[in-house]
Amino acid sequence: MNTIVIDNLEFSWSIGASNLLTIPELKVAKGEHLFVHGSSGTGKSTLLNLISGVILPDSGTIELMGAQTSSINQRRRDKIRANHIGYIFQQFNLLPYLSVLQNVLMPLKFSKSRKLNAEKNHNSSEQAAIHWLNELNIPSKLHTAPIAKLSVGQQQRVAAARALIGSPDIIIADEPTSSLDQDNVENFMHTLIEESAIIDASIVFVSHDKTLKKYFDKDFELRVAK
Amino acid sequence: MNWFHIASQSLLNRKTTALLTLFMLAISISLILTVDRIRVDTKENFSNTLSGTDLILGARTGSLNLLLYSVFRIGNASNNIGWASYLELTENEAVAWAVPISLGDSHKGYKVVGTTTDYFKYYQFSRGQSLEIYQGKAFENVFDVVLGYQVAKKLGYQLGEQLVLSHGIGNTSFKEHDDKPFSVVGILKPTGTPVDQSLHISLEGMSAIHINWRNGFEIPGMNITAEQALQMDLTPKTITAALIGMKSRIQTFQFQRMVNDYRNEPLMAIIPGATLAELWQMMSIAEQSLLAISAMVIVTGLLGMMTVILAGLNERRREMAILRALGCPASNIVLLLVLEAGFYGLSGLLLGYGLHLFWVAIASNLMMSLYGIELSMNLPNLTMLWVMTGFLVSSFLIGIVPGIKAYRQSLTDGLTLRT
Ligand SMILES: Nc1ncnc2c1ncn2[C@@H]1O[C@H](COP(=O)(O)OP(=O)(O)OP(=O)(O)O)[C@@H](O)[C@H]1O
Ligand SMILES: [Mg+2]
Repeated sequence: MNTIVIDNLEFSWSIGASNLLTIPELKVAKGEHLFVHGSSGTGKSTLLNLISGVILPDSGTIELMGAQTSSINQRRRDKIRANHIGYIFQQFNLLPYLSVLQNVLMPLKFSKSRKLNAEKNHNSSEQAAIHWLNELNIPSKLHTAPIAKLSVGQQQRVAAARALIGSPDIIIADEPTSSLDQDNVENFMHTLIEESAIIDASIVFVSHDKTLKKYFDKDFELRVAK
Repeated sequence: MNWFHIASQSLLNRKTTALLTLFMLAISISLILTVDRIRVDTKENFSNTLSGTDLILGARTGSLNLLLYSVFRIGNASNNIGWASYLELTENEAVAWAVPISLGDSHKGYKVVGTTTDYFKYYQFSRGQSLEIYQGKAFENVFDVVLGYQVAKKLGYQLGEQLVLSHGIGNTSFKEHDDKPFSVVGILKPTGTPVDQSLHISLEGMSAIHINWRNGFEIPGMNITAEQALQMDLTPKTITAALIGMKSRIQTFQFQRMVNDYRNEPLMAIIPGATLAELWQMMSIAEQSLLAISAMVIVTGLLGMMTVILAGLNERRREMAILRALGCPASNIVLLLVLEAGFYGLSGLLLGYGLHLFWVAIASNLMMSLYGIELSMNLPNLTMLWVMTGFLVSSFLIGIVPGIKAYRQSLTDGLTLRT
């Protein structure tokens, strides 16, 4: 089964401009880990926006968990994103006014199915959050801390815990390691790949750093549009 | 953790701006409530001060001026009425009763009213209520004084206490009539009118303390003791004003004309109700503009709040993008900002109401000592309740503007975090 199916996708940010993205076909199977690379400005982040259903392709279709996101309304796309996607940004992932634990719990607010998953697997939402924070090596004394107390590496790991909670089908990560030092990158990549494997989530991981390719089953390169 | 929690945590994260905005709104709402409270209470107090008096007699001056100094003890009389003229005029068939009033002295800032015991009989306030003695009795002797309720309360005077009146009006007195002390024989029940702030003595008492005075000055070297004064003729030479009741209302205008045409000295008679109406007429422009200004302050406050929220949106792009990435529907972004604006509105309203009570408490003392008007802590009247409701509803509605802007912003930004 495929979690993501892209078919004949074309996209440009402004009407009349030449296409930023032209993707004839791209499939991600359940549990498959995809590495998307390409130099700056090739539209990697734009592709992730398209997959998440925040923006729509000019032509072609995107299927997410069997639903064609380009032909449903925005509210349902938001719902699908909440239920099936865990998202990790390059940096500044967390809401500064919530504690670490509250940040990790956020996705369960927007998705009933992820909340049910979390409760089924870990008895309660809180325990699920604690579980994932522990998996990502966040010391428990930091769980109730304000996020300003965390290092950048810790913040990225908390963001990963937030992406993993409630076992979504897809983890999307937009250069999550670019602000980490080498040791932290390795550590982060290993945990992310391992933990995603445990919940059998597909990964779409974007980076311009080709050395990260080794962690992935499959890779896809974006080139500057002609 | 619900939407309200997220909205409030987000706001708490920006607490300096939030607090300032809150105060801005609270001050604007407290201003209109307080202005209206003063307006309503002043009006009510004025309307309740005098009742049952058909005419006020006084030296010729502005009718408003006469009303203000004779009844409300605001301002001073520029001229007096000769006692003979008073007697002659009030002998008229049509006059049912007349109460002379002689002003000009004070005691610790409270005004002294020289009058007759008829004052206690005929003076009426608040739709026909008469004065009542709370303790003691009306004055009988020359050096007896009857205190208004607030005077006794504020100065802590008991029956039998001796007190000295001062010449002139004002807190820091010019000259004391310390050679002729008065003793407290009665205290009146509270009325909520300037009577509470007055000391009442007989006209003879008034003459007695001024017996060694001419034209407002003490005659040097002339010392007359209280005992000596009692032996002298204490018939008043002048009075300041007189309250007059007519046998029938119809004769009021006729008598008024007669007074105005009186040849021996320039006098006038006013109808208190009509003069008060004149006062309201004069005040209404001021009243309206004060309310209009207060309303503008509220509008300014609400616009200020909108500006604050709008200006904050740029810094909150990341917050919005994170929420969107988590699957937060764009409509909830609008909700978040509407909640925020509404939260400002509600807490601004509550704080504003508290602030209003605080202003009233402060202004009450001032109004009491300056004009004898007591401000109430009553619930706001219907108009003000509408203003408050309108304020609250608008505050929520105003949230839609930044809400829509944030919504648009979140659509164009997508999930791309640029900062
Ligand atoms: N929200 C937006 N509105 C308009 N244009 C955009 C928007 N986001 C990106 N673009 C444009 O689309 C192009 C691709 O941007 P995108 O962020 O997808 O590239 P990227 O491959 O992620 O680059 P990087 O590696 O630097 O993150 C750029 O030219 C950018 O200016
Ligand atoms: Mg990018």
